[in-house]
Amino acid sequence: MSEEALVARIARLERAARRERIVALGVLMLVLGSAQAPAPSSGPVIVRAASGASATLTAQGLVVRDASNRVRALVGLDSNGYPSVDLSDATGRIRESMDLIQDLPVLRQFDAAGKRRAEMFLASDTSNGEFVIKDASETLRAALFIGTKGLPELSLYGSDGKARAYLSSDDDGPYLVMNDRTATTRVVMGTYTGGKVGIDIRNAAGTAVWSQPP
Amino acid sequence: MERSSDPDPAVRVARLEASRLLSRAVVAGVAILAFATAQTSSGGSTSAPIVVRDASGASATLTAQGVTVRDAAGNRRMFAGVDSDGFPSVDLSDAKGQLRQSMYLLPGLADNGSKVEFPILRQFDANGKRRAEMRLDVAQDGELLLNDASETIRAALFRTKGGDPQLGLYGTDAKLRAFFSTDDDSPYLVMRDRGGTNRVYAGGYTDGSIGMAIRNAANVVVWKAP
Repeated sequence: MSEEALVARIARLERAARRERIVALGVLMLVLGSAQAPAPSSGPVIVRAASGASATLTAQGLVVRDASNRVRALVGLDSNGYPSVDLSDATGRIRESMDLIQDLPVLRQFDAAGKRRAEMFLASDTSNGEFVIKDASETLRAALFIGTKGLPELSLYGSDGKARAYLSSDDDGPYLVMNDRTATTRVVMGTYTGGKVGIDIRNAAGTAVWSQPP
Repeated sequence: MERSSDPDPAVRVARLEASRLLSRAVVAGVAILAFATAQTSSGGSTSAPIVVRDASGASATLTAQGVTVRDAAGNRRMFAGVDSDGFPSVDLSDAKGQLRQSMYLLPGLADNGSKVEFPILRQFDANGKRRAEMRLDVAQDGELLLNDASETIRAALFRTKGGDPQLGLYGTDAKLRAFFSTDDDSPYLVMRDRGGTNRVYAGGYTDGSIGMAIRNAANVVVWKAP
């Protein structure tokens, strides 16, 4: 082989080597770039079991469906954009929910008809805590809360949603009040606004018929 | 200038040999890296977080610790998993990223000295103050607590150390003002003034009798029945 032919072959090999280096470096950069972390996905990631149950991860959170494809659990942002944990029964109805509704924390338990039966939350105006129990009509029947004046109170309500009895306290002293169906106070016991401590019983017109101490 | 213009063929051959070695090293490195970071398509296991992002910028990230959801502004709004302290936890945060509701297990010691994890649900106001709480206490009894904006307890429903259920109402000084409780014999209601003196008592007495008494600020009975 002549020296000229040899030089020509070497030149071809050198050009090929440069191309290979460029390709290899490109592949290396690609692998390095994608090896740091999987690229964010814009579509949901779904894990499905043989039973048909599935878990779906979207940008809004994680949704778990049972084999009947009913949503049983959601953790993430709900359809209103509220952070939420929702647990649903086998019919797909939400039975328990812990969420932030307009940034206020709420824990709710629902009956099978979807009625709110027990709740624990912070009030929207004062951020005071409240625990309430409701009947099947979603009428308030019992509540333990801190009221708008900052006083702690336990209240019991009739089926009309009106308070029948409440036990509360300010810093001077507590008081217990019992009302009848018409909301007339019939019994007061404890510390009165003037500082007196006692008990009185009133008739249906709200007039005291017995009081102690005199 | 082209490197191939080097007139010495021996030098150019040596350079080619070195280049080949380099190329082999690069290929081997890429292969090792690809194997090390490969994600299985059927096993469902990965060591790297899985991130799902939508057009708004909101995202959900699944890691070995749990799932975290961030809103379009990048604020963490929801976390469910094992938190940075190692506690199983579900945290909900408001639009400012402030934690507002948290349900978790907190390790501690029970009253018998054994290590237990206490379930707690806490609701926080916008200032991060604990305002409502439901949990198991050191005796593993359930209790519901309501605090004011200063985190001072104002109402509580719980079991006493003796095991009796009790509702307590507290003043702004966190001192008990009223409590309604019962033992197996009978219930009782006690009302106290600012000084901690019992002013009203109604219900069962320790001697088994049932009645009612009102006392003055000096703790002297001013009326009693029967």
